[in-house]
Amino acid sequence: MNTWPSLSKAPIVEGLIDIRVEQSAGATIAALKAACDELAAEFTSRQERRLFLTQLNFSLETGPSSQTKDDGPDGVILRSADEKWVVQFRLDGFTVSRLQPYGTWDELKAKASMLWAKYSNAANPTKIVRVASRFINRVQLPIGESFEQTFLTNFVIGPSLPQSVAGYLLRVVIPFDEHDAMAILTQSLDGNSTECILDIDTFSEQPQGIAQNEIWAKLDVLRDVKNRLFFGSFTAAALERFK
Amino acid sequence: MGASTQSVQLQRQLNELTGYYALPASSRRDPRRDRFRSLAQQWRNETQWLSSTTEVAMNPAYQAIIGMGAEALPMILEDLRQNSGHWFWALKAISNEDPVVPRDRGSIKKMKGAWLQWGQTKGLVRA
Repeated sequence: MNTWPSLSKAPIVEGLIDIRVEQSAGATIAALKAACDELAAEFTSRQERRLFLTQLNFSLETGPSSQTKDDGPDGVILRSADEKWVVQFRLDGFTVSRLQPYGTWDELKAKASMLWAKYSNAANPTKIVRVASRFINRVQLPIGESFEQTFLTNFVIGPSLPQSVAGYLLRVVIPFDEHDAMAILTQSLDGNSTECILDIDTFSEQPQGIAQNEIWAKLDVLRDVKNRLFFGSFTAAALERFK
Repeated sequence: MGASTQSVQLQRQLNELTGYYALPASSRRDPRRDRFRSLAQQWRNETQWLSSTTEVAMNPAYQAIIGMGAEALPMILEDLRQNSGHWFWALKAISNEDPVVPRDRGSIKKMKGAWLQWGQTKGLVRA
């Protein structure tokens, strides 16, 4: 693993570990809820996650139409008393989020490992098909400075066009073949805001399955890829602001 | 909305992205938090000219917040930290505790400090 500079003012607003599974025939919401009962002391709030499917139809004859179907609960969302930890137990996988203040990768991984054991026991998945680490950052843009002075990964507007920007959404998918990983980097600026969101999602997808004993080492690799993307996306001046 | 195949393809891609960007917990609106915000705003609007603490605490929106129970505690403490306000009655009613020592009663600053300290000890609000 590489070593990366420590940032005392890292702009992370959420760090999450996500594991997707192929569900077993016997997996039920009731089993997930029973596992959640055992976590009630730590996760004091519980909500059902519902799956809504909206189908949009576009037809030149009849015009656009939409149909929404409620497929019922597809999981449970748990929140810790201080609302800093959020856990999703779903039929298709599980997600552990740490909201700000983000602590350390080891803390997030330890929490995910403990909860994965509970989830895995309840859902009894046939195989793990995807593991991901995802970090969402909120980056304050210095007023009056161009994006290039903060970001190295950027968009370009043709030089003959006006250069002022009232908002943007940039999504780049980058393969890291040497690590069997993919990354989705999303940058977003909402109109009038001086804060840019940088979402770095690194994942490894293997339809044939990922062995249980490999997932944590794989997540370490994904986190390393994330750091490469993070540190490679900012200028030295911007990184200095996070120290 | 365009009518071309490419336009439909873009729309389909955008639909798929909705689920992708809805996964992180920070993208999800918490209905309890929305309810708390709305009730707290209503309470402030309706009691801003009242001087009686009893009237302030008897306000229906304030009582509805008390009715939310323990899950309202982190939100009340965060609001207390950011905006102050007479949250002490609600905190005491919900938690059945009172960390304010008798000599500090009446000093808003010290009462606020005592409750925030209490919240930190209980892990309900950040240090």
